[in-house]
Amino acid sequence: MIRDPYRLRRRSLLTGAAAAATLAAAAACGDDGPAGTADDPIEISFEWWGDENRAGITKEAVDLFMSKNEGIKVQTNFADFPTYWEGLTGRMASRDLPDVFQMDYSRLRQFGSSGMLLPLEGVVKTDDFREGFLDTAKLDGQLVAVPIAGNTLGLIYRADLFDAHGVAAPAPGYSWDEYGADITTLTPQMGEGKWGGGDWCGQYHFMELWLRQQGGSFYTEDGKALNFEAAQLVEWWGTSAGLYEAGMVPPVETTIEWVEGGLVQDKLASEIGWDNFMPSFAPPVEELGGTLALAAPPSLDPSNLGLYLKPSMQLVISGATEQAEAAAKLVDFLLGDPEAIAILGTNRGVPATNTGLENVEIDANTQGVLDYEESVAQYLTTPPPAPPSATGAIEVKFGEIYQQVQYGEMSAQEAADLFFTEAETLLAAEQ
Amino acid sequence: MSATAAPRVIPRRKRTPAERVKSLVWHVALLAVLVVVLYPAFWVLTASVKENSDILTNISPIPTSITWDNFTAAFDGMAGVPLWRFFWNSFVIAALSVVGIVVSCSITAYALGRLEFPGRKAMFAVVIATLLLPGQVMLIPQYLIFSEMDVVNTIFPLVIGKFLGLDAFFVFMYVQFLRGIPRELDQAATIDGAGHFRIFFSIMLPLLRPAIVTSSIFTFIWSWNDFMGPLIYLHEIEKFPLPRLLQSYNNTEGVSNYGGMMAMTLLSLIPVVLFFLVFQKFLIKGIATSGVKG
Repeated sequence: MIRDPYRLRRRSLLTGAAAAATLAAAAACGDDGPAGTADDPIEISFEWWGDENRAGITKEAVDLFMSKNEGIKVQTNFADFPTYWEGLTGRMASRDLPDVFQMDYSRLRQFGSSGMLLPLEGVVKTDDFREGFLDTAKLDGQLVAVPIAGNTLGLIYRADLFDAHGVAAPAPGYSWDEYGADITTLTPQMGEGKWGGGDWCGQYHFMELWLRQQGGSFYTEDGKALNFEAAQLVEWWGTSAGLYEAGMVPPVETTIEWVEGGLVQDKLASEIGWDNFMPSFAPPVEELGGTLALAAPPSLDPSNLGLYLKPSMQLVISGATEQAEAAAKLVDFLLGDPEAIAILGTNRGVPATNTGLENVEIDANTQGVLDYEESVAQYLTTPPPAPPSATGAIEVKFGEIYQQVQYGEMSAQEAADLFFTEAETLLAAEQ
Repeated sequence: MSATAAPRVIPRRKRTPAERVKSLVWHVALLAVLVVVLYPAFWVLTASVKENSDILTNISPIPTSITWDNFTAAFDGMAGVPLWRFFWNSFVIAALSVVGIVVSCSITAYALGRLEFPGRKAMFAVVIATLLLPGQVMLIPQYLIFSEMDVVNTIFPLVIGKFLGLDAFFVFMYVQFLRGIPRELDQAATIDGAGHFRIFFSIMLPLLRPAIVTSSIFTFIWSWNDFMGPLIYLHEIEKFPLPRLLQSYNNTEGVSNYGGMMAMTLLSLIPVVLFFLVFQKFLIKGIATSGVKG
């Protein structure tokens, strides 16, 4: 992207002396297009979200890629999830996106619908993905992303505490009421400042699950509106109201101060969540002397758990890239090279490719996730279409407004009406 | 007066018991406030030698067991990039910022505070008005400009503003300071045949010392701690300054490495504290030596 001589000239006027060096460098590079040799490498950039551990192994895999592909130099950059998106959305305005970057399903439409992403059909390898994975990589029928790994919802619970307090391991098909009853058994036995489970009502993903269990969905097919009534929202918020009033789930005054999940802090015995989070929660819980396990989430209908396989992370290529070929090579390498997969491990989740699954080293906790996904495979149904761009903001509003209900500042009915007004404004703003 | 006159000794007045009690209470209260103020720093210090699970579950600042792993991990750097590299990156940006601010703001302030030219007042008003413009508003337009200039992913966007006197706050501070310096000094120099350059370099600059030191301290600390700028403009791990490294210990999907974060926080505080201590000396000296009686 910096091989344009006119741009260099403009810069040289502005930066004076510094440009002399740049021009010399440009002259050294020559203008005969992307040569891609060791002396004159093609430069591509790759960015992702995550922490320093992920950065370490990703960098290692990228170094391996560079040593196997001599003419390509990869520039790497990362930040944690919220910061990553802050940075990228700022850069979106000038279409200055990295050549390859990590994508979240909830942002796919925002980037994909504005033509920021390169259509990947025929560009990257697509023949090795595990079944059902590519469905969620398409936007209006066009493949714009490839999944790195997938996840689905589940109940992450402390097997040791359930056992000690005489609660049977939840079997697929148990109801929300039964889960509530389990929490009611657990909380009083666990002592002050600890609870049997968390309040599930503030997460829109869980409501989506609940709606899917009734054959519904959160957004309409075209992603332009909410696909449920305010009355249903009131009903959903009612599912944990009894537990909340009885103090069986932690109060908002407490949870608002948590900077880490209740499970790793030894304060919760169970929590609905994404199954791929379990392996990262398990080590700290083991240090506390506990064991985590996965079970299906509660359901309204024993034959329909509402589950679907969601890509937890995807890789995309910028539509503005000048090095599509090199970018595609990197994507194929990260997802399909046995050595790269061995380095990357399950840090981003259980690999989405068959090669990945065969070459990855799997520890007991990751095996637990695989076993869980295997056990609910028969319940996995068609995923909803990619959510609207506003979904991130709607998710935040959903949680904030539910907090008002928890604080008792609003009735569920008032809060539901407020949520509808807010969500409709957010959805209208993007059209 | 004889040259050997003994220094005059002022006899110390004996304090009454009531005064002693008052003084004692006062000092105890001050110490209590100090404890409150220093508690977070103390917490960081002890958390840096705690196990991560200990930080999460043990509220007490006293660690249940001491580990140095956080520090050894911090000294190993991140993602194959050595630790000194992050310090160096931070240092280069901070040092260039300090130089830029001192050079550009003092010259700008001299022009606005001492020279007479048409539109001076209006220009000064414009400079001050930029103080009212929130940075977020300018973020995207600025990014577009730097992106067009193809200088993104270099430190150029982070320091160029400092060299162009864009920090209105410091320009204002320098101007205010200049106004306090008597005009008679300039006039005396003019009579001796000095031009503006001579006046600026030989008279104003030495007298501006407290302003220079103050602005240097602030600029250094602000750019050392700046996160948003490097996040937006630097797209390569090798170019990360320390705040980006610190942030990488955060993990929104799993469990954050608080131990590492605390250890690294302590390490990254050292240069700032040193810088402050050294420059603070200049500050005191500056005030002591620049007293001019009009």
